[in-house]
Amino acid sequence: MLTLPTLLRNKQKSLLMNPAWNTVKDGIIVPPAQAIAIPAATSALNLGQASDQIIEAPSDGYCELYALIGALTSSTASVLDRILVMFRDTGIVERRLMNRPVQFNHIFGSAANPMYIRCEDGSQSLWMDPLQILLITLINSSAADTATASLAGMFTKYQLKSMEIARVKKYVNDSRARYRQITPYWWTMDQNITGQNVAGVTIAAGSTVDCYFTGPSDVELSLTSVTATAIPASAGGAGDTGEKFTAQFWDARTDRPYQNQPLTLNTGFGTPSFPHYFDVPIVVPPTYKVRSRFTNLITDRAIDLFVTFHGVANYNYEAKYLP
Amino acid sequence: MINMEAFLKSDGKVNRPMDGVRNIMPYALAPDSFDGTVPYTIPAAGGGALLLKYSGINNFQTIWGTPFELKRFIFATPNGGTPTADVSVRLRMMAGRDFMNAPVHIRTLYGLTNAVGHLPSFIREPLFLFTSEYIMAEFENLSGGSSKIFPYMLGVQYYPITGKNATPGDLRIVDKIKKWRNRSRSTYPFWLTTPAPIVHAAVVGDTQQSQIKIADTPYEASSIACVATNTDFELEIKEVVSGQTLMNGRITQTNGLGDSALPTVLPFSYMLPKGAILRITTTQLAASTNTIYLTFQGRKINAPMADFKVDLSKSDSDIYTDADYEQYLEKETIGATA
Repeated sequence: MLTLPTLLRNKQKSLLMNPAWNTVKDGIIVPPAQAIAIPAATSALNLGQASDQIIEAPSDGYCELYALIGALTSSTASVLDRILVMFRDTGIVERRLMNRPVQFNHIFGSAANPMYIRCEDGSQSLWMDPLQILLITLINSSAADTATASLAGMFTKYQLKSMEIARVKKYVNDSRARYRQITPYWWTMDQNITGQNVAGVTIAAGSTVDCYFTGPSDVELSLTSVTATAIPASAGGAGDTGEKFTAQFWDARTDRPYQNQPLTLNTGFGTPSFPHYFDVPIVVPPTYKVRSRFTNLITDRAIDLFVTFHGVANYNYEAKYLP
Repeated sequence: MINMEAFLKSDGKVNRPMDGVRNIMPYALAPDSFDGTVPYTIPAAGGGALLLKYSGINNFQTIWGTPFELKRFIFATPNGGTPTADVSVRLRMMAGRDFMNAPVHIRTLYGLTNAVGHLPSFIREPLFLFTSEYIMAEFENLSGGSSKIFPYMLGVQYYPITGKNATPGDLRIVDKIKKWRNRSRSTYPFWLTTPAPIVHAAVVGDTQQSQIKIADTPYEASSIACVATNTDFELEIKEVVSGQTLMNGRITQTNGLGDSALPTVLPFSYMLPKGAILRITTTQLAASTNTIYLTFQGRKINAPMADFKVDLSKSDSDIYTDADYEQYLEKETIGATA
């Protein structure tokens, strides 16, 4: 991200506030609707869908959206883990920022701990030119109740006036060029929850299932963190109801493992506020797969498991891949 | 935190992955005997220790094997509870290297998971675990009944490829491994703690002193973590050989100490030469008993540090000999030594 010195020295060696701060500012960006009503599903296959929400970049500057905040409410608590979200960026062509709708609770952090999609680590923020639109679709996969969502994004705004500052102009131009190559991306599994067209897997009590994550055919992914949610069929139960499941991942092409023994929910996965970061990214070339194996640790309840990787999609996939 | 830019090379117009990058993978290393479903049981206090072995990945396909770079720790307890048990941990490399001067509290080493978040602990110096090397971890309950844990080490797995199939990216990986192998001979992560937990009586104003002596290898402290049964105490940390203090007055616990998940990071690493003595003075502010586990996180640097010797000398440049050390203690009239 752009770093600007607070103070500058003029020719007379006097210290002055950096004038760039007049035109480069942080702020909060929200969709027009403060509370977005998400209808309940009418059946297992007819999911409830809110009207598409629009986040529009300001007209007087470039917008770098670097963190996401969201809140869900519902009269029925179990609905909160059944809300899905899909991002579509209309900036260049309509790019989807995820392979399938993923869990709302895997994307939006809290006001105190937002989900940072770009930190100082070089991952990718959502870049928006003036008046560019981000489309957000909210889906309810539960027939139990409706839900209400509130969304916000934290962004840095580079006002058009700031283009007079060479350092800012270069950063904006570089960022716009980079965004044509690299966008943020969320990646979930190929399988469906039993009986629904929702990305996830239903694991019978005490059972083990194998799942695949398949890379899109036109981008290669660099994945930096992972989040998971496991929802038991009902409260209580025997076995480990806290850790709920174990997970193993392999690179499907080479069969190299990402762990020597299975990881549990709390040691291998995180939340949007505190994701489980990888020490190096997982690189997934186009159409490559990650194989996974999940075991339900609850011995008398099935679980619905949702797993979302977060990283960047790279639209230049001409590099050599070895092995 | 990941620096992804290292994985993207730019020719000025486009960013693309560095070749060979798929031979570097994130990795989680569990103890050898773990089957993934049943957590380990640490015997009740007094019942002995749980000894676990973390082995480097046993792969001899290449001359460099498949090294594992340890960067973080994390542990959880079954049923999703916040890990609260008082458990001590001692880590040793079986080549005879200790990673701590005394066992440390698990919550000053192993990160944390709970309902709020997922917070692995970072270590100051990555540790390379080469093929056929292994680390022994000794867990012991300090009080109460038995407890259960899932303990993991997190880091990076390398698959170095050499020979005619190697790409420039692969050769960079091999080069990095060679450098780190050489570096690990003299520099390695280390946790420095008091010789025993600091115990306070249930008296307001009860003051205790504990000392840590840096032996023959200089130490760089980069952060401080603490677990206490009662957080209402104040402390002062002083290096007695040089007279340097880390604070201008006593500070309360909440102002100066974190835990392994969110330690108090020192803005500038505190360098301690061999022979240095850290004296920790704690004073109880509440009328309740207290047991304090204090751990400095950092690394040992087994290299000449002549400059530090000069800096820390008062008048006697040979203050580091054992005889002078004893004499020094007498002058200072300090109580029991570490």
